[in-house]
Amino acid sequence: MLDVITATQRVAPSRWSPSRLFKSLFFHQTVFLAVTLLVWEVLGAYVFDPFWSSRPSLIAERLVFLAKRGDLTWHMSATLTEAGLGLALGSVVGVSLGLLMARYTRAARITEPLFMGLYSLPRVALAPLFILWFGIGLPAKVMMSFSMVVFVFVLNVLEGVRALDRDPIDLMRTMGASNRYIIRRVLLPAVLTWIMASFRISVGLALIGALVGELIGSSRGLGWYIERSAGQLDTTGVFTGIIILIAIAMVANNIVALVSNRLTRWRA
Amino acid sequence: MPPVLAKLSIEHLCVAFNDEMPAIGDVSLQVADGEFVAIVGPSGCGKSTLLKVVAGLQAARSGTVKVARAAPSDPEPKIGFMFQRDTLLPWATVTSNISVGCELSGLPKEKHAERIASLISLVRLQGYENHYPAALSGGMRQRVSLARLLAFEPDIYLMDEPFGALDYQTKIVMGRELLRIWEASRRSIVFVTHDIEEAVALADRVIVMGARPGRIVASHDVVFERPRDPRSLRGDPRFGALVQTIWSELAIAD
Ligand SMILES: Nc1ncnc2c1ncn2[C@@H]1O[C@H](COP(=O)(O)OP(=O)(O)O)[C@@H](O)[C@H]1O
Ligand SMILES: [Mg+2]
Repeated sequence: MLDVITATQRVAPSRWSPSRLFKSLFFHQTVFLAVTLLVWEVLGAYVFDPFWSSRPSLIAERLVFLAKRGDLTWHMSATLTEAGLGLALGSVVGVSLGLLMARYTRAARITEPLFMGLYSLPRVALAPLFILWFGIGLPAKVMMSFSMVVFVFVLNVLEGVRALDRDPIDLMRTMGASNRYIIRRVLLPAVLTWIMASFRISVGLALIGALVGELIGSSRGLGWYIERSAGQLDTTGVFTGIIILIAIAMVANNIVALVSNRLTRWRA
Repeated sequence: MPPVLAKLSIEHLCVAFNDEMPAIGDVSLQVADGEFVAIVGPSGCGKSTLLKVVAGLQAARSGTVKVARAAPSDPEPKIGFMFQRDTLLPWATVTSNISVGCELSGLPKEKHAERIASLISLVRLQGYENHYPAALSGGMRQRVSLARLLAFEPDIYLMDEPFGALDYQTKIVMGRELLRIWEASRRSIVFVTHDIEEAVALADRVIVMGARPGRIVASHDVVFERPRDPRSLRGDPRFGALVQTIWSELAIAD
């Protein structure tokens, strides 16, 4: 039995070495990215009209310009706030609703078609309504983000509770466990994995919600910046906005993945 | 009247799902305090159902089931159940899974760590305290289940094919460990298995069940001395004879 422990200890600690670096996935990914940017740069300079395709160097220049003027933080903070608040609200409401629907099965069955219908509805269709109700400020975008993510949480939590393993619960019941104990020891940890999965899906959706809201009506945010740049035929501006969005989405996804992996370490 | 008070007393139990032929028809069984009873029978004869009724997970159509309390002051008898499938919490470490038993046993919190540590060494899982079930073998997971069960300190152990999913070797080892642990504490056990040799090697008494409806067709006292080593029993001619007898009874019952 103890062999396993010594075996893991015998594995050599990973040490940095040049050959290791050249073989690493990260190195290959970096090279691929650099080549892509280089090809874009060359094509943009010599083959296509940069008016249509812009160029990485122009975009980098614009990024520095926006950063210096404070426009970068101004627009980024708007979009992040909208998406973040929408995600926070959507997760809290979605998880609560999901748990309630799991608890009150009759009510859940009655309301499920409505939820499925709303879930299937392309939420973009709600944007004009939200603008009408909440104006072109922050609340409309938060609601847009919220509407994108809330059903993900409801349906996932509901599914998580339905997929609960009955045997450990039965076992604890025979041992005299209270409902509270079972909720704390079984239900919440089981549902947590489904909540984390919802977050992984929802990060991107929350951003889409915020963006759609901004595209339709706003005075601030990355969506607004992209929309305005396009209106001025400023391709570099459009690409700059898109690049920032990609960076935000990647960082956010990685953070969620990191937290999620931490919380579900038990999945060997 | 038997000299020892029955730990578990089942009288004329009948269990039926729907309105069909009862899954269990008229079963009566007494398990004495400290007795190790094994139940063998063909699959579908109601062994699991019988344990579930005792554990309160399944309602009976008629008959009575009584489990004696350890002390008159205890509110409820403590029933420890162990399934064939390991029912560990996948998100809890070995220590945390065993502590479920402590927590539900009503043991004061400051004594948990000590009991868990002693159980971990009892089931020989030292070094695996912080492992998750997914990182353990089937045999090790059942050891954790066993430790959780022991941590609960039940008045009676109901074990439903606890080693049935394990390979032959591990099953033999687990049986020996169970005997070692049981011989130290001597609580009543009802041990369901479809392995006749396992039943004879471990139990004081082997109950043979038949199907449709589930009923008891025979009961055999196993007279081998305690403490016993299941390995040396297998060479004993009486062992082979008893296994043979039960074999033929099962064949008839089927
Ligand atoms: N929840 C249930 N609903 C309907 N029938 C059941 C249920 N559980 C068990 N049975 C039936 O009761 C009989 C006994 O089952 P079980 O106790 O699991 O047998 P064993 O454990 O001896 O293999 C079987 O015929 C089985 O189909
Ligand atoms: Mg069974």
